[in-house]
Amino acid sequence: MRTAWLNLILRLSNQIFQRKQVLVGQEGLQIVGNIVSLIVLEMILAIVSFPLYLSVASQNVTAFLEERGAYAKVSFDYKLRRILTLTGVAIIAAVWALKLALILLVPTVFGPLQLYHVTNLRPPDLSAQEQQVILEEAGIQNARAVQSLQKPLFEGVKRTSGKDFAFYGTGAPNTTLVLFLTDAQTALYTGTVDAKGQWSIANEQKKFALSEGNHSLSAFSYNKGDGTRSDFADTQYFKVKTTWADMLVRNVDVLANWSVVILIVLGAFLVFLTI
Amino acid sequence: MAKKKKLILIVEDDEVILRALYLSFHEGDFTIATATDGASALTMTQRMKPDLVLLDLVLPKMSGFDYLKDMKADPATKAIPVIVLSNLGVQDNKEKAMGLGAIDYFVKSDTDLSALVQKAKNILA
Repeated sequence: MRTAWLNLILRLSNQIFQRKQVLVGQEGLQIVGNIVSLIVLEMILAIVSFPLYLSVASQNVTAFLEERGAYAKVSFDYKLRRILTLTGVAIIAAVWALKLALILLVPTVFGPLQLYHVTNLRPPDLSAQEQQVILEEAGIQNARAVQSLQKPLFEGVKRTSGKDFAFYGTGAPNTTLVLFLTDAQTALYTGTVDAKGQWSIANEQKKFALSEGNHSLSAFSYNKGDGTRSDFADTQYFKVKTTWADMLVRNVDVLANWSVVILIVLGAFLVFLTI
Repeated sequence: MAKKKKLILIVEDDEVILRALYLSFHEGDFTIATATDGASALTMTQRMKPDLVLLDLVLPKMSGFDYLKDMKADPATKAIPVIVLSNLGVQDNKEKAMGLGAIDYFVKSDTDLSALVQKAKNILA
């Protein structure tokens, strides 16, 4: 494995040398194509050879100098290439390692949110007019409210990514769950309550953007079979806020995109350094 | 008394390859010295009297051919075996290097480093 890795480095270096040799006699698009190939090869070589710079430290290289009668340190040259490779690849590796670590170690960024009761805060309630509009839009304006149909219950809100949320809870089995989600306007969602009485409805930011701050959730169960609906569930509230983790995730994403640029610049530097 | 390790002088101007060669030969239980240009290599050869020289041909300051010519002309160093490891695969270069006293010629594009280490061991056995 180790020998195969070292052989690969040898072949890549040879490929780069051969391409640089023919560069002088080329013209126009041939040169451009060759330089692009060289940059790609240098990028690959920088990544592949990165452990080489870590595993062979200059101070470890010693030689027996006859005139001194003792072992002495022999330093490698080409510090610029070493610095470029080490810093460039290290930055890229650090950015991607951070991105991976965030995905693995910060589940709370995309985890459950706190649900607030009405005693915790008091955003404006849905107006009677809004409720009526929603009911009409849902095509269930004629449903009779009956006490016998179980009211839905909110169990939680979960962030799935960024500002996408999933709402879940329980309700009358095998009915339609009608959910109202308020922002400056109110979004209406319908979903199915399964035979076990569980339901889940997702809101994507690109479909209905939730602004920073408090939002209310309300819902009822609708039985299409007999045209009845339950009473409204107790209204629940949740807060949309941008956390430091959001900022970090967003910025790491930007950094990850830039790391590709860094890699290309690194490849270009290495090409022109040794051309 | 511990057996004295054989000393190999690696002459290579490409740092990546130099480090790869260092790792390969370090595993082969050699003592390794390095030079990154022909002139330094010649000085080191005269001072250190290595047991074997692994030589690249395209070098700054003094080419591998000139190094080979000078070190083989010096009675104190002419017996030191030299293996050429070059990017240049042209037959003329091989013949020229062998004519100047190299004992073997490897082309980097199709060289297996473990075979190269084994070759060095066989020469120094």
